[in-house]
Amino acid sequence: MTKISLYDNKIWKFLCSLKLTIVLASAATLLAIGGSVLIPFNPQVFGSLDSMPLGVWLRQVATRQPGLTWWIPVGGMLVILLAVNTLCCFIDWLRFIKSRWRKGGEYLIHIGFVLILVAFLWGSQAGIRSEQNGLLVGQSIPLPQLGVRLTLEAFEPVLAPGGRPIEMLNTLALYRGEELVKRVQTRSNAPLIWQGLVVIPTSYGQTPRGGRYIPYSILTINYDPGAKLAFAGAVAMGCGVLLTLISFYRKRTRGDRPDIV
Amino acid sequence: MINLQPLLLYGAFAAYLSAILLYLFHLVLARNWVRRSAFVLIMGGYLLQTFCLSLRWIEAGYLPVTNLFATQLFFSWALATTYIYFELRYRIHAAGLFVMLCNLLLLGSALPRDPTIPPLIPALDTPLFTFHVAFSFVGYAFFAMAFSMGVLYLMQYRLQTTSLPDLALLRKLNEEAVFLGFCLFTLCMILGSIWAYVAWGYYFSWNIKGVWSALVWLFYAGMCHAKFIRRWQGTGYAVLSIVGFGVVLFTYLGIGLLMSSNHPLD
Repeated sequence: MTKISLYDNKIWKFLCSLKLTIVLASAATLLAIGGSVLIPFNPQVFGSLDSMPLGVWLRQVATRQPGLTWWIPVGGMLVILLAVNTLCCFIDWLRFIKSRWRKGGEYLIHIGFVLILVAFLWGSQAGIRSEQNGLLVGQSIPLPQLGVRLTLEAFEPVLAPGGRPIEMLNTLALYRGEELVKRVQTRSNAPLIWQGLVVIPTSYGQTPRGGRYIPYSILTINYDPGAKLAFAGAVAMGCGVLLTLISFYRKRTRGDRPDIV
Repeated sequence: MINLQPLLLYGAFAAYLSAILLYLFHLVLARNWVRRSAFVLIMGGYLLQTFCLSLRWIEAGYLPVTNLFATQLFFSWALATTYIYFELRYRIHAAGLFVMLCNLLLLGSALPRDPTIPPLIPALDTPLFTFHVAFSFVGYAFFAMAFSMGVLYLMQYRLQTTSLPDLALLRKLNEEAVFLGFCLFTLCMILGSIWAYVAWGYYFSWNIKGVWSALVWLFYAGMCHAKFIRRWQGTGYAVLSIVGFGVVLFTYLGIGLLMSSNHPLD
């Protein structure tokens, strides 16, 4: 009886095919070019895309305007298929790694792309985004999804001469019960990051207390369970690019240019 | 420094303009001394521009690429860098004329603008910003070179002239420009995403600039694969390079100037 290999059939070859890559990448690009033109002209529909996870937006906003938003789920499906195609190519490369190891850089870029896409889908479904959370010094917000509470321990807004806030110095702490989990002084580009949670001071306000106005911090609190995976994908992709560049110049030095199939 | 800057920039502009005229002269007469003089002028202009950029960087304390004048100046410098890379590596001579013309247009249109360096806001005070922008513009410059090679490929395909490099070399240069541009643009996207995560709390923004940058990446990722398919080699690849640069120009100038985005130019 002949043993049928999982990889030795038309379906696997189709899934790994370069032509499928080109078709999917072209279709996704063309669709997104057409669809994205709608973004600036329909802020009431697309303006909230960054303030909630994509999965929530698709359920709450996109379903009310299917005529304007259909290209996002369809484009997403094309990119997911492209990632499946990319993953199959990566697996196929692994099968012959002994003879194809020099292509390692290119395939690190491939797997990096797949990891980033999986992380994005994960964050889109299980992530949380919350803006405009006002906190006075000493106040806390419970974060039940993570089993911790966020406390603002100190706050100092830095203002430009015109009064515009340019920097928010916040001391933020995470507590699990009475136990301190993490304490950070945040500023621009240095948020509190912990286990997929990211807390960013965005602005400040003032509230009357005891006859005078006291400032409070306004925080963006996002949780993305896929953030670490996305970072791993980015590292893989970055290393892949560097290895590919080294390999490219080595090949050119040897006069080896294997670019014609 | 303030007095020196216009001198350096107008000097660079004059050197580039003279070099382009000499290259055009060389296309007609094919004299080696003309070609060599043109390259010396480009190197001279490049040194003046690099010196000016360095002075601005030192004065600002950060890579000043936060408004239209500054990005035009840096993009123009990146185009000159790309031209010099290909000239030193492949002796492309007048074949890179289009890139130098783009460079001249960018620099020429930047000269009348206000060169004042704005104070750095804390949100931009990170090495992620510097590398994100630098990789982005050098990537764009390689895509411009790919466009140039694509146009020349189509011209040579029709004209079969000895004034232009042969089709095989043009194809090779086009593929190399796309490959290097894609690598640099990938690094730009990675660093931009990390920066977006620490600045906004998410690594992909649905702002029009974010979407089109992802499209540029996807388009050139497709091109890096298309060169392995016989049907897309040569003419098809040249056409894709031209289309791709259209997407790049819209992403940089179209969105930056005509639409409201999170990457404003002015």
